[in-house]
Formats: sequence, structure tokens, C-alpha cells
Amino acid sequence: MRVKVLSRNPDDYLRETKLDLQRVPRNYDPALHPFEVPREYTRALNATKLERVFAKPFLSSLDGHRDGVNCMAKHPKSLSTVLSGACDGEVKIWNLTKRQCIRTIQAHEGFVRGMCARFCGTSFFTVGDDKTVKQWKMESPEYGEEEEPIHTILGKTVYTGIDHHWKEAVFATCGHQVDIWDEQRTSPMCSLTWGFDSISSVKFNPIETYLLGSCASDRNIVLYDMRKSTPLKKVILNMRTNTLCWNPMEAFVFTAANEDYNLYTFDMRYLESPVTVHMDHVSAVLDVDYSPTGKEFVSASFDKSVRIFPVDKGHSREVYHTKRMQHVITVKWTSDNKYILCGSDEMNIRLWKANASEKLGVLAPREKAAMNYNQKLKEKFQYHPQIRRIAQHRHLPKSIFCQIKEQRIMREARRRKELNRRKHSKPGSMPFVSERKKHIVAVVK
Amino acid sequence: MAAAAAAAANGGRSRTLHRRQRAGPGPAASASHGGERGDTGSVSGVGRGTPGGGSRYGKRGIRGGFGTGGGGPGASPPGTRPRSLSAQRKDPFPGPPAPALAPEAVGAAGRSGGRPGGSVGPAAPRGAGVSPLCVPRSVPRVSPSALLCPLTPPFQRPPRFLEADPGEDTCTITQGDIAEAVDIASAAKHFDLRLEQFGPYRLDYTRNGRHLLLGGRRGHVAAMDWQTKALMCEINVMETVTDVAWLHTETLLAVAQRRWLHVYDNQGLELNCLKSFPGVLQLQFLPYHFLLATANDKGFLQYLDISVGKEVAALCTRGGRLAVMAQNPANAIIHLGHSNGTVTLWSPTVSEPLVRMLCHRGALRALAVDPTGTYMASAGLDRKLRVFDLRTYRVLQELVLPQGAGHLAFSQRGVLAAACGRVAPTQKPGGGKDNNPYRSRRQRQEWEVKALLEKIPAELITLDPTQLGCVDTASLQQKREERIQRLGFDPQAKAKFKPRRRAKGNNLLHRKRKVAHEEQRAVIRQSVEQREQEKKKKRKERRKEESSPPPKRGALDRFKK
Repeated sequence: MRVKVLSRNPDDYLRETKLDLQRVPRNYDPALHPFEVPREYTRALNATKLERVFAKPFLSSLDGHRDGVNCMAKHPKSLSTVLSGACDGEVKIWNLTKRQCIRTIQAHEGFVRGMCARFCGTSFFTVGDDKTVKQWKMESPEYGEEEEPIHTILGKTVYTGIDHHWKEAVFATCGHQVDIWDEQRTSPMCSLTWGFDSISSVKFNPIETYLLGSCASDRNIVLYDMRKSTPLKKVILNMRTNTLCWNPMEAFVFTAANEDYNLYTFDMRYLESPVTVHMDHVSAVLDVDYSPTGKEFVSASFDKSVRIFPVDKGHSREVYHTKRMQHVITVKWTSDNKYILCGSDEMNIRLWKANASEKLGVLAPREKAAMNYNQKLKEKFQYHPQIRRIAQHRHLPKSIFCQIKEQRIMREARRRKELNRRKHSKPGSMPFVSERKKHIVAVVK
Repeated sequence: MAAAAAAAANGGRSRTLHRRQRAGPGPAASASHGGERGDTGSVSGVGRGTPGGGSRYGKRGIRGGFGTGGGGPGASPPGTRPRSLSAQRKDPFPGPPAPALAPEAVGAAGRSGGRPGGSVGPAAPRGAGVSPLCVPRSVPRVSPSALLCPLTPPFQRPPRFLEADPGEDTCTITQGDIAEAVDIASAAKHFDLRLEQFGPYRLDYTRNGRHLLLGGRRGHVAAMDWQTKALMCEINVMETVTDVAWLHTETLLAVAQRRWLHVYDNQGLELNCLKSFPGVLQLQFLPYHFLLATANDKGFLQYLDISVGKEVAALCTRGGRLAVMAQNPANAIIHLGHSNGTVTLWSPTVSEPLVRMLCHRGALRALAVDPTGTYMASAGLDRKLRVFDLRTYRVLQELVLPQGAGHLAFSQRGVLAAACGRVAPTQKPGGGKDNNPYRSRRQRQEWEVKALLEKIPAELITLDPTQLGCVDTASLQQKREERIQRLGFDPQAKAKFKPRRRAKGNNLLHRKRKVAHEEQRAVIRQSVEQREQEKKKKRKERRKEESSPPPKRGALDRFKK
């Protein structure tokens, strides 16, 4: 007689000594692990809830300026250094690890309108209301030395912005027109102009380094080619663009922060319609900066909030606000993709986490594995209504919340009116204009 | 009072069951097993544990009467009356006199793995006065009345767990033979429980197969670790016990007593008396949902969430007394068998049964669902055993049993066991395939926390457990229609495909050829149109003629010109 019996040797299951790890015998037979989908769903729900529990993005506030912060610049080689310029002409250099100011310079009389660091990281440039362009050393002065700029250029008109070339010793300023300067010269190499109004910001393309973009007060965005010394083309929008930022990963993509509460991502080869319209702010968008991955950007708005948008989506994934933070004038995303710095007009620079629920510091391999698993679960079930509801819920200050409701009502009213007009008019007489094209007036070459 | 000396094998541990003394001149067959192995234990139902008695709650009090060391190996010689261990303490509730064991009563049910929730039928005809412990164990127990039906698709060779030599019939194989045939380690796991005094027993194993819970009809509840034969608790609840079940771990057990549902600790402490669960007849624990499903004699199916302690649902089944219940482990649906031969399937969130199947011509006696959730076996008063496919709800196999099956159970390998007649199957489970039976206390605690975090809410119990992973096309369509209505146009509608004009070489020639034939075509078109118009005219005239009726000839017409 033969009998088949399940026979286990306890030695295979028990640990040998107290110092060993416990063994975990696993049987992967799917019949023994039923309810795969509901269990994963429950885990995804828990992961989403925990993400909201651990979402504490505010890290610290850099205190020290005596007037509103007007502009910021990142150090190209050091992750822990950031420069900021205030409305009283002061420039401060901060150390982010100690969260302290390491150097203060009285750079200008009047506003510091713009600043940028040279690509090598040894010096930086500032422009101010006193019609000067000054170049400073990045290192602190030795004992006994005074704070003196390396170089000062006096101009005839007020300069409103400055940006340095990513590879060559060339920088561009904007004010009345866009001037391209060689660092050694005191007069611009060439002046580019198209239109009659002042230009608020200028930015060099980090990848195609001879391209520039500028935003003017007559609601247009002009693209220039440095090699040709002429403007390339321009696009006229409905309202003025405050500033623009080039995507560090895609050579031809830039995002413009507009006064009509939206941001527009354009492909410079096809300016007729933006790639995406990003709508979520309730007041003018003042500044925009890309993440080094090129997949997201952060925008600062007059409505006292900072929002993070994915490049391909029309709505923000995150909003940061504080009771103490007033109108946010400038924002930067640090080069290690982890932090966001925003300067507001109440004299503080705030440091935030880019991923609100991220754990900073070194993670154990198990922690990392658990976080990856949770991330994947959240992605898998992101469209289920309960999970989506929890994941997208954010607390908003009352002013912004009421503004959003009001603007939604206004938009619905406009849409209904248009629908009724279309219904009661001859079919075909009112063409459908896509949301993207609505905001563009013209493209001129 | 049947109290025997404790075996020295266990070193006189106070938590052991009674062990019958294996004396040398005892039955010859047993001697080959040696002193340590093959011990039989008999649980004599010593009644202890009145609700009022203080000793009930004392750990010593419960186990005081059993195996408290004492008595070395050379205790009572055979034939003498077994003496109680502690002569001072007498069992105040001795229960009815133990009946004599009839040879055919105790059956060999062979092997069934996994978790049998077997109900042990009435053990033997009630004899008078003879202590069961005096009956020699080597009486062969023949039981043709327990059937093992392997359930496999017909084209597969069924796995043989017990292969008889040619000439031997599997029906005549006894437990002793099996114990001899297997390896030493497995033979050591073989044990015998004599449960004669306290009525038909209900059994339950924990999910890892390590702990066994017994509940006798007359109130005897015992929990033990059957591998080490360590008795965890043994109490008499002084009430009729209709069913027992382990909860999520071996620390908690639920006992369905005559009036209410009680939850006990594994030390025998009563933790809860749930008065909102009266008259419970059947208990089923859904491990992934932490739900205890109870069926009572008034026809109510109630679900208790044991992690929060709240009643999740109380469904009025309107099917009368619910004595037959089974759960489908694959989708946590409860199957109830009714006296009109129907089986209904229930989910806690729906107040009507999800499915109603007519299974038998008489009342149902037993139900079982296989671990993968594809087959359901049902036995009814019409003495038939039917196997249904749960996807199509159709009969797959049908067997006629001369004695109807009182209880059915599926093993983890797909073997169906049917308990027929008066059988006390001595199970020899291989242990649960999941949940490590050798886990430590720390592992159990961590597992418990993780399991609680992953507890599936009761709303997700559906017939198809993968439904959550499918796209909800109905809602999608609805949302799409709403959006179209709101916007006035369909944003997802694609523009009609316009093929690009391919500019080929001799375009000019092509055009010229077309132009050349244009005149001809115009002429032909004209003539065709003319012909058609003429035809139409003729048709119209004909219709007019037909439609206008012929003038009636009046009486005075002949006077007209």
C-alpha cells in the first residue's frame, strides 16, 4: 500500500539560531492567494491615504531681506548656493544646507531687476533700476577687501532683465530692446528689436544655445537667433506674458507665464497653437521654472500660491501656500530635482520639497522597495473614483477656493451662452475654436 | 470520571490531554508503536467552567484536572479501573455515561488535507456503563461509509493519495495501517481523539493548520495545537454549542451557543457575548475580509466585522432555518442550503440573493465549495451527491449514495470527502499549504498587523472578484455623453479621414482623358434624364386614369347625349 502524505521537515522552516532571520516559506500558487485585485486596491487606497498623511512639503524660510524679493538665480555648479535680489537693491547669497545668508551686497540703488550666474559659476551679473549692469565675483571677498563689482556697465535706459549664454561668454539684457553683449565690451554686440514696447524678460535656450526668447509688453513673445542678429518670429497672445522658461530636456519647447492666469507651453516650430494650456491659477502668473528632468515645471502667481504642473497635463498636480506667504514673485526649481525655492514680496524665500510626501535622506533598500511598490500601486489604481478623490484633494486658502468657484461659474456661463448662440444660428456659421487657439491672436514671421 | 495517568512522554506537562497508558501487556498491535509515538489521547469531557465559577477563569482551574504530571510510566496495570489523578477533585459535571464503542462506528476517513471543518457524527450507539478507554484499540475500524472522490477533469489521471496493493480494497484500510505505511514523522502526527460524551462535534482548523478547535454539542469546547499535542484550553460552556470557528489567528475563537454568539480567547476566557446574534447555527469566517458570517435558525444571515466589532449586514434570507452553509474561498460569497432544495448565494451588501440554484429534490444536507471556487458539491435528502460548476451553475457529476452524506469537504488538492452514516473521521491533515505552520509569535503578530491593514472592505464582495480591475464601460459612456451635452460638440470625435491627393507623373494626360469623355457623358446623361422624365409622365397619367373612378351610370344617363 502506498500512501502519499505531506511531510514537512521542521528544519526547513525553523531558523537555526536566535540570531538568524526568520524564514518565510512562500507558496506562489495563485489558488492560495485569492482576491488579488481587491487586496491590491486596498493597498493602493492605503498608500494614497498615507501619501496625504506624510505630505509636509514646507522645509524652511530664509529670512533676511529687508524688502520684497524680486529675482533669484541658481548657482550652476553648487546645489547648496542660491542668489537673490531684493527691491531695495540688496543681493544676498544663501547656503541652503545651513539655511543662512553667507554674503550680502548692496548692488544697486533701486530694484534689482534681474540677475543671472555665469555658466562656469565664478561670477554673476545683476541689473538694476540705476541703469547699470554689474558683474560680481562669486567668492566672498578676502579679509580687508571691499565688495566691489568686477565690471560695471552704464546704460542709457533701465534694464529689466538679464540672462547669460549657456556656453559662451555672452549675455543678453532687455529693457527697451534686447541687447547682446560680449563680456569684454562695454557696448552691446547687437541690438534686436521688433515692436515699440518694452521687453520684460529674456532667456537663452539651454540646448540650442544660439536661440533666445523674450516677452514684450505688447503681448507678444519674440524668438531670436543670435547667429543671424535678427528676430525669428513672434506670437501675439491675448494678454501679456510675464516671463518664459525653456525646457532643459526638449530643445524647442518653452513655457510662458501669462497675465491671463494661464501658462502656455509652446513648440517653437509651430507657434500657431500652444501644445498645452495650463489653467489652475486664479491670478496673474509671475514666474515659471522647469525641473531639470524637463517633465514638470513650477509656477509662481500673484494669488499667493505656487503650483507644480506636469508638462503634458492641463492642471496642476500640487499647490503650495502658506498664510504668511504673500504674492510670489519668483520661483526656482533646484538642479537636483528635489526642492523648490520661492521668493515673495514679504521679504522671505521659502524652501519646499518638490514631492510633498517624499522622505529625504538615505533610504534603506526595504524602504525604497516599499515606496516603489506603493508608487506603482497608486499609478495602477489612479483612475478609480475613491482613490482619485483622495489623491487630488488639496487644502486651499479661502480666497483661492472662492475665486476658483467664481471663475468656474463665469466660464460655465460663457460656455452656455456660446452653446445657445450656436444652437440658434445657422449650422456651420459658428465654427468650433479649440481652447488652445482661443488665446493666440497671430503669429508673425 | 475517566481520568488516566499522564504519559511520561510529555514530561508531565500540565497542558496535555489525557493519555491512555500504553502498558506493556496491552494490545499487541499498539506495542509496535513504542511508548512515545502513536499515542492516543482521549479527551474526556470533564465539565468545568461554569460561568459563575471563579475557577473557570483561572488557568490552573481549567487544566488542573488534566494530566497534571503525576503518575509515572508504570502506573495502573491493565484491567484495573483507571484512577483519577487528583483524587480530591471530582468532576462535578460528569456528563452522560460514556457509551461502548461499536467496531463499525469509528470510520477511517483516510486522508484529506487542508482544513476540514468536519462534523463528527454521533460516535456510537449509546451503550451502558463501559468506559471507552477499556476497549482495545486494535479493533479494526471498517468504514465503507466515508468516501473520497477525487474531482479532476476527466482527461487527467487523478492523483492517488492512497494506492492499494492489488487484491486489497481501500475500504478495508484502517488508520493503523496508514500509520504503519507512512514515514516516522508523519506517523507521529497521527492521533486519536475519543469524543464520546459530549455529543456530535464540530471541528475547525486555523488557516495554517496548526491548531484544532473542537466544539461538542453538549458544550465542550477545546482548543489545541495538535502537532505538539499542547492543549490551549478546554471548557464547557454549559449550553448547547452549535458551531465553533477560529477567527483570524489562533488567539480568538467564536462559539455559537444556543442563545447567543460568544467570542473566547484561546485560554478559555470569554471576551464577548454578542446578543445581536441569536440562535446561530453555522459559522463561516472570511479571512481576507475579517468577517464572520453567521446563519441562524430564524433565516437571518448576519455578518460581523471582527476587526472593528460591528455588524456589517443582517440579511433576511426568507429561506427558513439555515442549517447548511458554505463559503466560496475564491470570492467570499456565502452559499446557503435551504429545505426546498435550493442553494442561494449571498453577498453582504445585497439584500437579495445573487444567485438561486435548484440543486436537489429534497432538502440540502451538506454543501462544500472547492478552494479555487470552480466547483460546488451538494448533498441532499434525496441521497444524491451533485457537483456543480460555479461558472455555469450546471450539474457536472451526480452520484447516488445509499446513505446520504452528512458533511462534505474539499481538500486543497481537489479531493472531495463525504461523511456518510455515523462516522468519526480521524483526520490526518497535511497542514495548510499557506500560512507557515511553524511561524513564531513575532511573525504571527506582524502578519496580523499587515492582514488588518489589507482587510478588504465588505462592499467589494462580488461574484467576480476581478471586477474591480475591469474598465467600467457604462460609466465611461455616460460621462462621455454628459461632456458632449455640456460642450456642445464631441471633443474626442475624429475628423473624417480625407485621403491625400497623390500627385503622380502623368497628371496632365489623365486630366485630358477625363475632359475628352466629358462631352459624351453629358450627352448620355441628358438622354437618360429625358427618358426618365417621359416614363414618369406616363406613369402619372396612368395613375390618374386608374385613380379617377369610371363615371357612374345614373338612371337618367340614357337620356344624355
